[in-house]
Amino acid sequence: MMKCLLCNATLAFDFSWRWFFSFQAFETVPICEKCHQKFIAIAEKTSCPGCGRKQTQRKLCQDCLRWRNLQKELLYNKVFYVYAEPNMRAYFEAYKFQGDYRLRQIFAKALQAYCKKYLRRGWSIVVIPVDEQTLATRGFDQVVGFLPDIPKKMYLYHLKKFGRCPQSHKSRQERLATPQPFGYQGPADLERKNILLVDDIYTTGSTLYHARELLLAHNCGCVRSVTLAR
Amino acid sequence: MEKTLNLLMGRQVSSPQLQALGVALDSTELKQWPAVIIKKGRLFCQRCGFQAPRTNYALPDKSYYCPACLAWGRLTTTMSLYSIPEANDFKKYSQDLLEKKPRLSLWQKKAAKELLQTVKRKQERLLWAVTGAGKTEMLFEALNFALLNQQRVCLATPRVDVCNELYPRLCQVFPKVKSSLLYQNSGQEYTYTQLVVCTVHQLLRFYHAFDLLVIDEVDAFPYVNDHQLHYTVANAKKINSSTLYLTATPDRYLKQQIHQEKLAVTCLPLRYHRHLLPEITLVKLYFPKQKIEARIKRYLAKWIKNKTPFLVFVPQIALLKPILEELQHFWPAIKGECVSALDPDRLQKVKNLRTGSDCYLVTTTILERGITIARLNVMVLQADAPVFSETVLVQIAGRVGRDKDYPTGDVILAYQEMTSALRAAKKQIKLLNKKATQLLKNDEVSTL
Repeated sequence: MMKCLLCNATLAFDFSWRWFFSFQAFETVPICEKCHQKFIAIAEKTSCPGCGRKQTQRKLCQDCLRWRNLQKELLYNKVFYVYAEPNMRAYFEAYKFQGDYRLRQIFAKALQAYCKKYLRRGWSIVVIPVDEQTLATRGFDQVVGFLPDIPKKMYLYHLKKFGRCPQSHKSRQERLATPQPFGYQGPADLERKNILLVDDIYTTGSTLYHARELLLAHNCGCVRSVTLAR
Repeated sequence: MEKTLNLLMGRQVSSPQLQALGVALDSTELKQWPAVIIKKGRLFCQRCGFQAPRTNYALPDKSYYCPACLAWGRLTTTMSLYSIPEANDFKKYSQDLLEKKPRLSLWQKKAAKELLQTVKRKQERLLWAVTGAGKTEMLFEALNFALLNQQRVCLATPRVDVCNELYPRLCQVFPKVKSSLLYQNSGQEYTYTQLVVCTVHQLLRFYHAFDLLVIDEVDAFPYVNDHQLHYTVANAKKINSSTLYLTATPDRYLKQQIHQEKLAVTCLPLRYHRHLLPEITLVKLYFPKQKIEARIKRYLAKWIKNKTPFLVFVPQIALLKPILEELQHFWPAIKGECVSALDPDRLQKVKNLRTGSDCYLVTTTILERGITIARLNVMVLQADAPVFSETVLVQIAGRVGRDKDYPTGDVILAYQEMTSALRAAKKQIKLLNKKATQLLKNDEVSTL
């Protein structure tokens, strides 16, 4: 008997003849339909093309315009769900801060499907890393947890001295003013390879833009990004 | 330093919590044991008693974590729990702590004496006293004995409301004893006290701490059928200790224990005003679609004519509105409301019923416990629904006739199909009343 990871309700199995004759493995879902509906999904049509923020129409938001004014090429970030909403906040609280590693299963499927699309086109997947101290206390990397079956490249690592204060404890101004938090440990020349960055939450975008800067310095091609929430 | 060590006495904390308190991990007084262990491929949490196959709870560093008590800080197989053995470092009292002894009836006195014996002999006992029998007062004698003997005492209950009600009463009765009230988000910091009142979940933080543990409302959710909470309770008390369970409606598990003579029981079938419990009237309905039939409507009409308040219990929140509308359709001049757990002004509505500005409430099972209104009558619609278990039905029936001046009232259960819960509830009340009449008879003989 499977239980919903969030509300503990018993999950119903839908065994159908169509599934039986499809000769596929039975796919179990980690949460119930009700809990799934509580998260606010973002449709492509109603989001900012630059950062994926939920809007009423598809045009660049204020933040992305500012990034463009800084002479940066946009990341064209893909986002799945809204972050500033109690259910998603509660999810990240339980997953990252309480450390319930099982909860990675809830969104792993959607993120992996998206990454696979890029892998097929020959892109590399690069994960935004967690600093060592957090990794030691938490016991896992929350982004790596989302992508168990994807070949990930760990080109980036956290420079130690910035590991003290986590991003989530900073204000917006502080975040934007943070110097480069990452070091580079990949091959010296990326040979114009295209790269998809993966992170859990997009807040100001500064983390992802810092990572992109570093990758561009090592001669990569196009850089795009995907985050679970915005 | 002495103070922080006191805070750890009888508590169990993980290593990060210990560091937060500023205690070194290799302190000599500390007892240390692994937090989560793997036994034959199964994970076993030593704090909350959670057990499951380990595979689902693996972390990438090949350790395993307990998913059940994450809210208290995550425990993994690499971590340890720490505690300092309870030393019972309390003030010695020379004279009786009970300033004003409560006035007890003859039967209450007898029950109180049995409880005291249990505490003296460090045993377990269930006090099965009907709703409105004055359970708390009977406890005082036993508590007094334990406190005088420098024992550490805890009163735990599954419900926060009950905690909040108990604590001031105990403070009043034992003003000299240091006591604390613990529940989640209470805002109070933990201090080392001899008397502790808390929710059952708070016992998770204790380790071999109490000499006397009292659990009120043992049959209430979430304590029933929760093996983890049972483990927690067993873990919180000392190995050589006494336990008292209080309830008005023992569930099947407790009854089985009594029947197998694993649990001693003190039964008090009489209410404090020496009247019997109101008997249940079962009404079978024949037309499932019609919501309020003539057969039950005539009871409602009688109550409304007599101007007595009444409660109508329904099994689901979704049914509250239609039933209320129908009642208002029949008697538009009579005021009523509906109440559920989701209702923010639930207390106000109950107050309105008590003062008489509302005549009735349509409610879910949240009003099953802890509500006392004079002259109340009760009706349960769709009493054959699974939420109405035996204990719930007996508790609902217990709302009626609690007042000394109006000891009777109607309990109407409307059903379509007979269920075992209905049958058992009726039987339980009959049995208690039979015992009560016997008691009354003996009483008359002894006074003659």
